[in-house]
Amino acid sequence: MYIPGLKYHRPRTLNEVYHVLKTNDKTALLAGGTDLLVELKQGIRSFDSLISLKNITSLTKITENNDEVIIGSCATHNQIADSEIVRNYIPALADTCLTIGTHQIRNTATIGGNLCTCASCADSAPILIIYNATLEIGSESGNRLIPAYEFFLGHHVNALQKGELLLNIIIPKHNKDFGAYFEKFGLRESASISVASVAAGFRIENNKIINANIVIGACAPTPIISEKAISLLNNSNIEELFKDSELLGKIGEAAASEIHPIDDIRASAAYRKEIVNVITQRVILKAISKVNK
Amino acid sequence: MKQIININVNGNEYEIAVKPNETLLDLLRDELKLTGTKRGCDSGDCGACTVILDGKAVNSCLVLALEADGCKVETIEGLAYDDKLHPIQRAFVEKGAIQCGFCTPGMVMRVKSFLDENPNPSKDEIKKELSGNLCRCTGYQKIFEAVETAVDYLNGRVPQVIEYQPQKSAMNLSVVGKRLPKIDAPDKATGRALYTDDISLPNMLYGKALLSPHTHAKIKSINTVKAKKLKGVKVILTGADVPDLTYGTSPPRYDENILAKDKVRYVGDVVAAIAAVDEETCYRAMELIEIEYEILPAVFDPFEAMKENAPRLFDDKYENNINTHVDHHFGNIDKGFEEADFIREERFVGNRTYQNPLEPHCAIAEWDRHGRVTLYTSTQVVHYVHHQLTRILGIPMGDIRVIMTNVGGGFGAKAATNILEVLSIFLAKRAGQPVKMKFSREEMYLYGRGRHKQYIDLKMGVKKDGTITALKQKVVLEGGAYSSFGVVTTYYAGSMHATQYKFDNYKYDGFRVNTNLPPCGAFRGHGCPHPRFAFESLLSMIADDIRMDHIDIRLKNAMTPEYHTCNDLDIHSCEFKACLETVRKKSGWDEKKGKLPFGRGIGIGCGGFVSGAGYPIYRSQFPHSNAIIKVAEDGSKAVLLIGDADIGQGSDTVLAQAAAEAMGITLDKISVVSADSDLTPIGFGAYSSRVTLMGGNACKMAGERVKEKILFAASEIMGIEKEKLEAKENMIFVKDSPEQNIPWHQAGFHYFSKYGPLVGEGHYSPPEGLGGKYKGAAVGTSPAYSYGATVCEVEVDTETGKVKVLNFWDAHDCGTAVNPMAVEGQIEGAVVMGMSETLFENEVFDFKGKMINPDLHNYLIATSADVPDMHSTIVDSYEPAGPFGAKEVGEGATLPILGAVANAIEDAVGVRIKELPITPEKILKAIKEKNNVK
Repeated sequence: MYIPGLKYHRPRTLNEVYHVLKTNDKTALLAGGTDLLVELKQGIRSFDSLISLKNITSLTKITENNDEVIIGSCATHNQIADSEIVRNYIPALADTCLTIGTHQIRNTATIGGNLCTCASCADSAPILIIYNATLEIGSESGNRLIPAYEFFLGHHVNALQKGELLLNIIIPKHNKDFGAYFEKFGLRESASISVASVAAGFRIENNKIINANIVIGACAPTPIISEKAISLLNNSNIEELFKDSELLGKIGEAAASEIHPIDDIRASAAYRKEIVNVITQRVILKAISKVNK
Repeated sequence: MKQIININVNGNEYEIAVKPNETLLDLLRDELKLTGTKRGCDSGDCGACTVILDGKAVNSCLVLALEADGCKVETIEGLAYDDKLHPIQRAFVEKGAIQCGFCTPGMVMRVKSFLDENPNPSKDEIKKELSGNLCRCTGYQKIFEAVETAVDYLNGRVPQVIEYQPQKSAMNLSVVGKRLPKIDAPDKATGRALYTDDISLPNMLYGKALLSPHTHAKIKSINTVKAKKLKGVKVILTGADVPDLTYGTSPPRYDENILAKDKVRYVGDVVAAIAAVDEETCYRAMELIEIEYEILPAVFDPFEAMKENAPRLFDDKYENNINTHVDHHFGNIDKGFEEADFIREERFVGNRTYQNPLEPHCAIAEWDRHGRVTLYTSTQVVHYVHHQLTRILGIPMGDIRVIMTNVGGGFGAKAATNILEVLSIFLAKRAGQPVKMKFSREEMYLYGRGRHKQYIDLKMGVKKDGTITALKQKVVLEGGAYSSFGVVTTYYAGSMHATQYKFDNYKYDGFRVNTNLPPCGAFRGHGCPHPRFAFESLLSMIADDIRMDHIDIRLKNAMTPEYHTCNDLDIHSCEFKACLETVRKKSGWDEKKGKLPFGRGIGIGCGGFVSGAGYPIYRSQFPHSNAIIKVAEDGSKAVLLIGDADIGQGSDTVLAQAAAEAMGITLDKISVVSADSDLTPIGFGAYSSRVTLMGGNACKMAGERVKEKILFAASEIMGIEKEKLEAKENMIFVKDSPEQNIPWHQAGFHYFSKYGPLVGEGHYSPPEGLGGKYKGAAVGTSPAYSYGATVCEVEVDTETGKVKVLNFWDAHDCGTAVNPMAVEGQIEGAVVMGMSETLFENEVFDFKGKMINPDLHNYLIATSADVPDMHSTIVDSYEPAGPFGAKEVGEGATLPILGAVANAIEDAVGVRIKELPITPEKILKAIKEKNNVK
């Protein structure tokens, strides 16, 4: 197990990054490296060169403006979990980051890396979709914005074009009237890969759920927006939503019906559906409890 | 191309050129020679390589060295100051948090970074925050205690002292029976302890073994011309270059070639060996070796493999791929079932699991100019490696020196001669340079030798009062491609039922079947955990059938002292019933069993093991354990030379305690040199839980011989008859008037001055004639047997099937606990490993026979966050055959766990899972099926 010989670029500015990206074939951007280096060692992926983002310190910043939280793509998971700004406006993202990997991994692994690696089980993806995140993508020819949901094209396939780089994750600030929650189901208490995961978020107005969204992770090549479950949840009365309630059961079943997972080493497809059913219900109740009524 | 970086490591500035593909771990270990930071998985899963980078704990295997340019790195070597341990290190040493020590440096660095951020953590925070550091030895319990103690030290508080009530048998002893820190712990806490991969010899080459990518194939041709031309490649060996002989573990089944001769039998079979200037060159050379394979049909399922037209792994032996067949019948099985009022038969299936010691196997071979070879290796069994090498190399033992370095855990994975040990010697011979070879984590799994997967049909008959009248067991063991320990495993799978419970009529049929998968070998509890799981499950099922309490039915049939079993094994000390009564009381069994709310449950499991196999692995007349004690010329200290191996279980400390007790000195007056074939007399090593009893007896005898001499010398000095003197705690005194005394060292000095070297020798062999006369009667024999019982409490998420283990209450009869803290460590480690195997672990193969999860990312083992509360009791016991009354605990303590967990789950949710591992998916499916039936 070793990393095959390769070239190492360490550009000092974004423009240099774009230049190196453009002029090198078979190259990869190196952020935290916790996925990339393992895949290089295992020989699953190979590159002629790596482009380190270490010197692009602007990408590690977490900032805010009046309406948005802006997380640099090279912010680590622990950095996000510890961020006051994130805790204030998008707390479920902070909690989600703490469910990923181990402490050591979270100190190195970046949110941009998690998104761009684009594994089907990427745990940061569902909650970012719930928070309506937009991804800012840069290239030599300028920056573009795309909704987070459109970024995930398949397992290990993202929407970045050649020469592009994920710069920032821009997330609208959410007031305390927005409840969101993410839960993953893993096979041990820590450092486990998601068998299935669910994120949900909504507002409550006059005891009614509005602007609901439910996203399921690890059950398809990309995160799945659970339309049927969402339509059942929207406009429902929160008094009808309690453990084992008929409505909640229907929502869980709807969520399970919308996924077409696979059998793998961690679970069968059928079991994943059962888990999604259960977790969806739990996540909705948790999200309700997060709304500051 | 190398690039220059500036890096500050432990306060020292380095300007150093590194390659782009070098990790921070490579830089620390290979360039800066800071080998305290360990390489356990190289993939960020185990945490052994944890260092603090600019204030944050990271896995140094996942940081490119170039990325650390300008950074500040803290490693284990920088933690202790002025020869004083850091409070965290001190706490780890004092609390017994260190066994093999391989995870320790990374663990300590993680604790450091954690306590820097959170100086007063809760127990739950500790459990959660350390979950990125895997430990396979301790079960994490003592690590939690060490962190709590470190918090006290760092906050200027005096830690609470644990009150320990000594066993009756240890009341009058001064060294044995004491909770003493392991003598090797300070070196392990500071990263100073050398493991094989930490050693680099001048002019050393690196070697790799090329493994087969196919499950079953003929080798048509091998062309190494291109590979040999690669710059830096020194030697390439194939099957044609090594002696045409087979080797293995059990002499009747030596069936492995050194390098594949004509065909490969599993993905991982060893085809060629390369030595080159570095590992990278070896890997590149591998890609250039051209091998033409003719793919053969393969078979992975043992039942398929036994069929008439199944592909055969060996044409000349093992008909129908049946590698071993055991056919045992004791008493009268038909009569036994006739006498039964109730009979039940069930099928149980085990799982293929891997020991996963944190340290990957590693070996270094060096030949000198006189034709003598020295092998440094990570092994449990120096002597068996030594013996096997004399066979393979055709040179006498005296020309081979085998040195066991510190070993980062074994659990059976290192209990036989491995291919690295053999190939490094051949490569080094050909190259004329030392050669180091090591496995990656993936190669460890592929090379295999883990637990056999067993398919068990178990049938039991009982009377109305619960008395077992008959037991019939058929086991099919999926054995993988070669024999390894498998003959013994097959016997063990049957023999140990009869030592746990009393019954007269027993039939056992065992079939070990070869398949095109990695060979299976000996793993903690060797062959017994799955049958024990089956038995403990079935016994509880039958108890329910006849409406009997699960502990009562065990008490009814429990083994008692001085009993001759139906399969001719002799039990001496046995406090099994005391173990059962203890856990019944401590767990609140009578208040809880069957009375907890749905989703919560409690279950019992029992087990025990041999205290050392009665017979060696190959026919040998050598005493099994041997010791020499050499006292320093001035009498100030004794050195114990012992062949048995400390692989982390703490045998150096335990054996030193036995020797010190026998000599009348304290533990600080003795040091240990172990498992170096030039310096230490033969010890058969660390397997079959043999070292405490066998090594302990040898050390005790050697100590007594020294004591004889020292009392003789003292009598000369004091002018008092030797028989009136006694030695204890570094003093020699008159028994009737202890105020008349001289220091021990004075007598030692006197002895040497007058008579020359003060040396004592000891040896131990098990009693002759152990066991019956039938074929296979040797397996299961032992001078003594351990006993234990465990109650497990679980909470099952009834909607997902996920199990959370809440508590284990366990009680063990290990005779006199020589070092109760080490015993607790063994128990806690065994309990967590057993739990992990029951709930998480399973090797999975694709349809082509290639393992899908050969890593610590997808093959799950328990983390600190999974660990429940553990409440262990060591019951009063005394084993006459053991040193100061001691016997084993390390393997026996694993055995109750599987059944206890399964029984607790059944109590919680009313479903019985008979196939390991017990996953949430299986539980949920069973719950749903049960509801549908209703």
